[in-house]
Parts: sequence; C-alpha cells; structure tokens
Amino acid sequence: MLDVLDLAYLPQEENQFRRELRAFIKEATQEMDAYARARSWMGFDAGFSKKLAAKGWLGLTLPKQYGGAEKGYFSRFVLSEELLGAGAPVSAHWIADRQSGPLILRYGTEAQKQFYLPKICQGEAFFCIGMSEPNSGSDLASIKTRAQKNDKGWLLNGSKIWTTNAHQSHYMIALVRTSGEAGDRHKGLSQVIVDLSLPGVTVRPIVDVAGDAHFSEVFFSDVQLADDALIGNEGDGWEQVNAELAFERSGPERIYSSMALVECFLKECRQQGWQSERVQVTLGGIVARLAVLRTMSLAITSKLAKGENPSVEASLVKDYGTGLEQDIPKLIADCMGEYPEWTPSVELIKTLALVDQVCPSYSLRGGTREILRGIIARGLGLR
Amino acid sequence: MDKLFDEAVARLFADMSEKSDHSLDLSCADYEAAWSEIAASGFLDVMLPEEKGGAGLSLKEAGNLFKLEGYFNLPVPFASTLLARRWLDSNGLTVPDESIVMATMGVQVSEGQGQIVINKLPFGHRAGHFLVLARQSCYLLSQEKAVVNEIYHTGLFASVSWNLEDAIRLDVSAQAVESLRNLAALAALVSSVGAMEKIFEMTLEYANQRQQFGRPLSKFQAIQHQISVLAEQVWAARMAAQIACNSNGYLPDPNLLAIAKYQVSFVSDQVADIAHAVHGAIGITEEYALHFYTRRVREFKSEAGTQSYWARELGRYVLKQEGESVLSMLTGELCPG
Repeated sequence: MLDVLDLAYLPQEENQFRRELRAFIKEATQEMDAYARARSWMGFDAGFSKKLAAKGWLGLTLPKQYGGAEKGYFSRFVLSEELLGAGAPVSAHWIADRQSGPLILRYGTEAQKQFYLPKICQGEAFFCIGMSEPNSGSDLASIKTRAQKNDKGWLLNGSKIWTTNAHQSHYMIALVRTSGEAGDRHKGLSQVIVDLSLPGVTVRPIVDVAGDAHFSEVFFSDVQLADDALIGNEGDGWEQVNAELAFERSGPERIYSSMALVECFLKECRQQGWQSERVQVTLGGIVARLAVLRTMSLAITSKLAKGENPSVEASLVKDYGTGLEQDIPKLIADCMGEYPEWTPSVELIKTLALVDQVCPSYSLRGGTREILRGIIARGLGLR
Repeated sequence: MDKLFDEAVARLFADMSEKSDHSLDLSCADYEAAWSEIAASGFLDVMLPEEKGGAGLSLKEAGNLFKLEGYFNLPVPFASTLLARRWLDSNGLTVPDESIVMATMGVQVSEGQGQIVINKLPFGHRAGHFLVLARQSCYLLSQEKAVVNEIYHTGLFASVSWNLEDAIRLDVSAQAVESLRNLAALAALVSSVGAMEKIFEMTLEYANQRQQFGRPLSKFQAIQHQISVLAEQVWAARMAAQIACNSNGYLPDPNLLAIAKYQVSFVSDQVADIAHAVHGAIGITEEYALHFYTRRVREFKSEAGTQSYWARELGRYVLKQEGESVLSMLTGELCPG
C-alpha cells in the first residue's frame, strides 16, 4: 500500500541541535573544498568521525546504556541533513551509525549489544555491509557465500564485491547462506558479523571512475567465525536485510548527494556575477525540487517516528530523489556551457566533472531504480 | 471542521461531474444551474471571515477543496472564486455573487483601440467576473460586457475582449497586486493536482482491467515501472500543493508558492504522457474522460506562470541572499514551518 505523505514539521527543539551541529561542522570542515565535499557519504575521515563521537553524535538513536544519545528519528534527520548538506566526510562511521548499530540493537543478543554498540558510539568500530557478490547484484537472494556450522562456530567461504569501505572497516555484516542451496532463494539466508582482521579474509580495494577506492572485493577462505557471529536468527537473514534497507532508503542521503556542486555553483554565480535569467531558472528549479523532496523525506521520517513502516514510500522518495541528484550536474553543465565568456574556477570544473561521472552510482546503491519501481508497483497492488 | 467541508463539497461535485459526464460542455442555463447549486451550498464563503458570514478557513484548511475542482473537472472556477472572494473582501472591495476568474498572463491593453484582450482566459465565456492583472494594476471585468472571440475546444479557455472603458480599475496597494498574482498561481496549481489524482486513479484502474496477451496490463513490468514513475510525480505534486497551502492566513508564502508551482508545472506533462501511454488509443478518444483531465493538467501548467517563470522568481531570491547557503535556505525560509 502506498500511503499519502502528509506535510510534517520538525519539532522546535531540533533548532538548537541544528545550530550546534552547523557551527561544529563549519569549523571541522573548513579546510575542505567543494571537490572533497562532493564525495558526500563516500568521504572517509576517521578523525572527523572520532570528533563527532566525542560530541556524542554517533549512535544518536541508540540507548544511553550502550553509549548512545537515545534521541529520536527527527534528531537523526537533522544530523544526517547537516552532515550531508555540508558534504562532511562521514563515510567512516556512516554505515555503522545508520544501519549496523540499529540492526544489532534490534536483533543482537545482550552480549553482542554490549560488545559492539559502545564501540560504534565511540567511533572505534567501522562497519561495512556484505551483500552483492560477483554473480549476485540486484538478485540478492541468489548469493552463494556460505557459513557452514562446525564445532567452533561457523566456517565462512565465498566472496563479496562492491562492498563500500571494506578495506577501511573493522567489521562486516554479511548476508550468507547457512542452509539449503541458491535455488532455495530467501530461505536459508542469515546475517553474520565478520571481524575483517581474521585469518582467511582478503580485501582488495577497487578503483572507481573518480580515481577513488571506496568499495572493495572481499574473499573468505575457510574463515573460522565463533558461534556468536550469527546476528539475529538463523534463516531470518532476508527479512532482517529488508528491514535494514527500508531504513537506508528513507533518509536525506537520497537528496543531498550533489549538494556540494550546487553550493559551489551558487557561490561562483554570486562571486562572478553570473546572474542571467538562465542562471536564475537553473538555480530556482534545482532549489525548488530539493525543497519538495526534503519535505517528502521529512514526511517519511515522521511516519517512522510514529512507529509506521513506510518502506514503499521510502522507495518512492529514493527513486525520485536520486533522479534529481543525477539531473543536477547536467542542469549546471548545460547552464555554464551557454556562456562562452564565462571562466569557471578549477574547483567548479573539477567538482562538476566528479559529480557528473559518479552520479550513476546514486541510483545503484541501496537498490537500483528497477528494484525500487518494482517495490512501488507491489505497493500499488500491481504485482 | 475542514474534513466535513471536504466531504460535503466532494459529494456535490461528484453529482455534477456525473451529470456532465466529466465534460465542461454545458449550456448557459446548465452553467447557471450548476453555479446556483454551488452558491446555495454556502461553500463559496468558507474563506471569508466569520463576521462576514464565512467560515474563516485558512489555506491550510481549505487546500483540499481547491483540489476538488480539478479532481471532478468542474465546469466552474471554484478554487479561483474562493480565493478571489477573500482577496476582494480583504481589500475592502465588493464581493460579487457570480464566479470569479483571476487572470495574470497574456493580458493585452491597447489604449489606441481602447480595448483589453485576453486570448487565453480560463472559463472566459462562462465566469461572471474576471480579476485581471495588467501594467501593475488590477482590473475588474464582467461577463456582461465581454465579447467572446473564440471558445477553445472543450471550453476550458476562451479568447475574450472588453472595451477599456468597461474595465474597472481597482484602487489597491502594490502588495495586493502581488497577492493577486500569487493567488492565481495557487488556484491553478492546486486544482491541477486534483486532476492529477484523478488521472492516477484512472490509470491504475485501467491497467488492472485491460487485458492483452492473456493478462492485465498491470502484470507487465514495463507498465508497472511507468506507473511507479507516475506515482512518484503525483506524490511530489501532492506534496507541492501542501507546501503552497502551508499558511494560516489566505495568502501563500511567496517562496513556498514558487517552489510548489514550479514542481507541479514540472511534472504536468510527464503525468499526462504516462497516463496516455498506459491507456493506449482509448485515451485519445472523445468518449473516454481521460482527456478532460490531462488537458487541464497540460493547460494549467502554463496558467499563472510556467515552471521557468517560477524558477526564475525563486532563483533570483536565492542569488540575492549573499552568504546564505542552499542548505540554510532549505532548512530555513524555504522549509514549510
């Protein structure tokens, strides 16, 4: 069912939090140019993550007993928005904070919670998520990596690919087969936490079109995991992963990926006196679409805060949002190219080229367009 | 309170829509009958202050009512009349009983020929009165004095002329002139979103019902994905309507209005295109009602300013806020509070 999205408002008390955050981020990122900021949630800086942890802003929604701040969804929205809107280098802790922490809180044993959650809150445990495999992309249920039960726990064999930050993380939460065969699809899948320093784990970074290495290939060769590597219930991996993805799909990540470019362009328009009608139309259109998407994302946050599960609506906002993120570099490039006498700065040229080239990934990560449109269609009762 | 209004108005309009078979094709007598029915219901005054016999509804409360005009393809300018009545009253002017259209685009004033001509005027041959914006002034024109030059196909718009001497120049502030421009855009965008909701429902229903290759269209992935995209656009437009109506008074915030009108105009053609693609040839026929709604959506995207017009307004504002980042605007004045 695709529910209506009602306009939602951030609680007043979030304003103070936003001001604090904004001042801190401004100070902590003052050395970064637009080219660095344009990495958005792919920008890795463990030092920055530690600084956020010191402010108490990692594990924002986790309970205090595990080192969290016990804040709600609206605070989390504001935190994400301020960090991503500024292009702060959040990648080191992003997945632990957004997905792994809440997953462990929800499905983990008390011992697992006590072991991992404080480390996440202190910025000492960075996580990656092992989902895709060389032959399993959108068809996630066809994965072949297997954890075989043995007397010491689980013996892990197989490989993962396109794993964001695997080479810079301490742990991976991997979706693996613990029983049955690939043909059993969703049945027999489980999630395990893999300590990436264990013998038998090989991580090989993959260089992307921007010259960055933010994702990796990971090989498991007879990696011995302890009994308590299993997170949640054996065989419930598919359901757990989907709950996690609903979370991943709903946030400001799907609006602000091209924000560093927008800010850079606006700054340059003001500095260079680019004020033509074409510039006004380009900027106004981008800002209008950003504003509408932001209210849609906030409406979903409000549903989460009410305890609803807006997974179909989140898919809708993600698909629509990544469309704008990908249109932004094209709109800006087209506008700039209309004026032969303009002399854009090196910073703007570099930033535009980067976003232009990497933006196809925006609608791949966290579920492709095709997967999301399938989810929406199911929500509408078409399948 | 407002929910009750919504339901009562929706019932009345559903009846009217059924009677006219979704069309705007009414005789003069039918138009007057339809108008008296709406007027007798008392709904026209819901935005007037309580001391004037109204219900004092704000935009936030009345927003859904404006959508109904488009959703039922009403043959009368309902949204425009409600807003115009409030605008007239707030500016100390007499509120007429007949329907009122606000027109802000393409108004030609020719001193030499002593004429005002508007070649594309919504409900131009039907509405009782017209609040017209030209040369930074507001004029009140009436149907009685109008010369209808042409009624465009299906009767949503007409070309109309007046003798200049029959135009009543209204003595209002520059601010009121600006408000009129914004209210015209608001009426256009919100009623259009109502038509989009209808289009979305019709498309979903048709895809589920129409069989090809031995199964409903809705079972084909290529169709599913088109409808998913349609849903995204309609949902964004619905949100835009809420953004525009996020006001406790009767005037929209100018920046929020610009955002909303941009968004609705931006998706208009895409919404109509997908609906027609899914419907196939039947959607192009006169007998099937889809075209009434897609025509509204396509035509109203330009009424009171296209996406580029409103993007320019917003872009000009954004450029002027020296030192302010896009993020601070999005989370500040451009955020419906």
